[in-house]
Amino acid sequence: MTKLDSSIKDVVLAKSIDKNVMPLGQKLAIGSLLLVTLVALLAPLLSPSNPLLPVDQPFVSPFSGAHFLGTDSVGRDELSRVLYGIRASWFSALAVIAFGVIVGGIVGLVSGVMGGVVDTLLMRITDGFLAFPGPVLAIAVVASLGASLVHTLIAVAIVWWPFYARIVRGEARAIMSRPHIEAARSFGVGRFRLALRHVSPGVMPAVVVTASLDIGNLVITLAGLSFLGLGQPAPAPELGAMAARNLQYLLQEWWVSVMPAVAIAILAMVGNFTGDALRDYFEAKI
Amino acid sequence: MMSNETLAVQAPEPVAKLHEVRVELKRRSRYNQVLNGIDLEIGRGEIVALVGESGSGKSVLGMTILGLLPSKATPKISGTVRVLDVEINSASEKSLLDLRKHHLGAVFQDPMSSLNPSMKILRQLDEVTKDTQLSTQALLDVGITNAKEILNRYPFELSGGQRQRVMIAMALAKSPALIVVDEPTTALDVTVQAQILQLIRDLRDRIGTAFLFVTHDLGVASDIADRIVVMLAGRILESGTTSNILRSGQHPYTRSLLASRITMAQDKGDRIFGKELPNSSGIVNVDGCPWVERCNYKLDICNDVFPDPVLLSKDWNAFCHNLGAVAIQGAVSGSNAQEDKVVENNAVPDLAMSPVVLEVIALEKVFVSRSGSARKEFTALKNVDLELRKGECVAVVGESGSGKSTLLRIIGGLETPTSGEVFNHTKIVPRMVYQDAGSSLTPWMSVDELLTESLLVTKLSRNEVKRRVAEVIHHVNLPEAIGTAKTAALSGGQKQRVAIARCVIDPPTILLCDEPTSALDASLVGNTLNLLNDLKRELEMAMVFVTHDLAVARYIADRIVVMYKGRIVEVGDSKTLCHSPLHPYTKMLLASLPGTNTLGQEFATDNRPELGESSGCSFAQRCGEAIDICFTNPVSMHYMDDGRHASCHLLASGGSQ
Repeated sequence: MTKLDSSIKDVVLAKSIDKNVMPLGQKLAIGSLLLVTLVALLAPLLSPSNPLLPVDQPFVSPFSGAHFLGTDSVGRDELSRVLYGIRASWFSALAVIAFGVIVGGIVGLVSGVMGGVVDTLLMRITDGFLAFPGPVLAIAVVASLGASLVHTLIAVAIVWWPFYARIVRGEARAIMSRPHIEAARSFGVGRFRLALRHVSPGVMPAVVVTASLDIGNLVITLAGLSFLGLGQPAPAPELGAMAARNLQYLLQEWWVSVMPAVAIAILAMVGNFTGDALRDYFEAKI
Repeated sequence: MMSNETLAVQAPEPVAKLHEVRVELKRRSRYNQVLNGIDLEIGRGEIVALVGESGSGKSVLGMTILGLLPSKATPKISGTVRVLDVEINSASEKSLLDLRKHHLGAVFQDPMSSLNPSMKILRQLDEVTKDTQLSTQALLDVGITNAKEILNRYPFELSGGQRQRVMIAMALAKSPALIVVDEPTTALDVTVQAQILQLIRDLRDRIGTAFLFVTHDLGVASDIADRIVVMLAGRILESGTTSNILRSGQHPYTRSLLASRITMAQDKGDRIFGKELPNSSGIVNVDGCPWVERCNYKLDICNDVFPDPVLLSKDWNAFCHNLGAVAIQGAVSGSNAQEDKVVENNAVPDLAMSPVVLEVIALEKVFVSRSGSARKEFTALKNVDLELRKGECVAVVGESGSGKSTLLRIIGGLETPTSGEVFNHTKIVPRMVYQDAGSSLTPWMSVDELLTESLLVTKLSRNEVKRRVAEVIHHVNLPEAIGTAKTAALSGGQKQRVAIARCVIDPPTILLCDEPTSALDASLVGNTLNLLNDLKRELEMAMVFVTHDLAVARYIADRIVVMYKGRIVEVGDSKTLCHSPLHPYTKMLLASLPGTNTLGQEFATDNRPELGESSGCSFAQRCGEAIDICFTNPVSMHYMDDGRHASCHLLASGGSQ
């Protein structure tokens, strides 16, 4: 019997004590993401008035008196409309991404872990979806089902998940060629468990980083579609549509279209900063 | 050895002089004290070896002298670092550049990552020499005979040894005063390592360049250095001439390093006594002696005050408060070795009686690679036979490319043979311990989960599984608390133990080990070998142990199989094989072991192009004793009376031995 060396037993797991200290910049970036989500969640509470009803004279200037961001062409409170717009854009973006991560993740994971014929088949199907032109598909869906945010989201989600399938599949293939997979297999670990415990946690960093970088991308894409009239129908507050419909007032009552545009820019930036911060964080960890 | 010492003594003024050097490096926004008061002089033409385990700061010291500490870590340097006439700390970027360009050279562990992969050797050398003639000469100087040809190749077209020679040629091109070499041979085969070490000595003798040789391997250091400096946790603990340190190192740390070496002199069947260096807790004692928590001779003062140097003789310093006690006890400690000895030896004679658990018959493996339409075949294994008995350990030894790992992988069922058979008479899947334990453990899984997983197939009850996991953790000497830790958070030694635990939790009849010690610090090798040996005996496992190190093979194995280019060239019981080898290749391997002090002996290089499938002995081209028949006639095994066998023409003609 090997003698128990007391000094070995006393070993402190030094490295696990040495917790990762996240730099301030990364904390701020991730904090801003949470802040935006909070604002989106609490939009009904934060809005001073109903975004659909006129509450004052049209074109009240911003930063003056009762209306912080002024009012629009029919006298609706701009701040309320922007907050509700953020809510719609943000949750739409998150919904599309969640769908992409789940569907694309499963397809990519299966593809990467199984390899061979399954891989080829799944990836060709994915390529097929990738080949759809997003906006055209959106127009087609909206044209056949009628204009609504949900229909637009369905159209976008259909063209969005293949990116995640590709990323997850690539990462999974890379992990599959690492020695710990061979080791796990030699210990009789089955495919399902292999995918779930030995591969998928390693894929997560890439997915999380891509997803958060994608938020900005999606916010802009969705805003663009609603700019084209492919979002919620008229009275509903939506950032892209608000910017589009009020372009004619840009030279005099600029705030009516600029404020939603600024909101879009902020959302996109928060997404990108968080993505970068998460990437740095995972890089430092690995 | 003596001539080198005199050389060092005569050195007029040092090339580099460090005084009270402290370096702090920032990592994860926190400063760590990496060097802690280093005093060091390197004389002209002197080879100084810096020896220490990983994390001892030896590489950082090399970088400090080169003025190349990573700016990303925003180093804080105090003390004086003087190289020639330049003060590194305060020098301008331009004068540093100038110094490095003309007077300093550097060679790192991995030459592939130091050479530009997209440039031919000629252009890279010409950047330094500015003259093709000089570049050619530089390559000839480092023993590359076909210099013209090599100059026109890309780095990836060269072998590891050739790349390292090119790096040395680049470092030497300006005849610098000092070259810092950081683990230059760690990634190379032993025979190539011996050549490179020889080359460095030759160059020093011829050109008079001083070398700072950073290594973790005392054996390598003893072969090459005039002076050895032992470092731990950013401190120098002892420094002295090579013979002083090796023969009578005084610091307790030096002594345990010396004791933990596995050499040919190691008593076989012994537990490697004193080789179980205690693990470090990972918390560095900055004020006191860094060895104190693992020291048997510690005094109270050791915790708080780092000792002043004790001058033992000229150029020989040890930093220890309690040297007197060390000197007295050191003499006694040899007798402690008897303790564990008794248990071992009786296991050996039964082997011939025990049943055969594994038979490998006429195994062949051909790898086919396609590039475009070209089809290339590579024969990794050719006609390999092997037999393994219950409780026996067979070591497979050879250079990289000898097919030893392929053989192991086929036995483990990870690779299918092209032809031939593997009979596993136990019907139980062999378990495999990988070379790099870290990469064989899934980094985001906890130790408990990994170990539990190996028992999934057994369908044991939950409590039983828990009991077995706790038992095996205890068995491999890991702390119980380790169960919840993620494997990525473990130290190298702990990872190796977890990897071994994973293999033996459901005890296999055959354990396959693929260089399990070659990625470990010297201080951990002994622990791991002892653990494997104990487990083998307790669980009555048979073991196939692949290694490139004959000394390790000799210690752990009952029989040794030597492989060269996919063929078995010699088989014999480990003691006899190491004592009186039959095959010239085995002799060559033995002679190139570091620490054997056989430098000066020339080894035929393997630089020559493949002659393709010649009909003769595949080793003939490198063989010093080759005769005509070796190049033309195929060799067959010659069996000796004592069960040894080797494939060599000389045995048939009685030319050797």
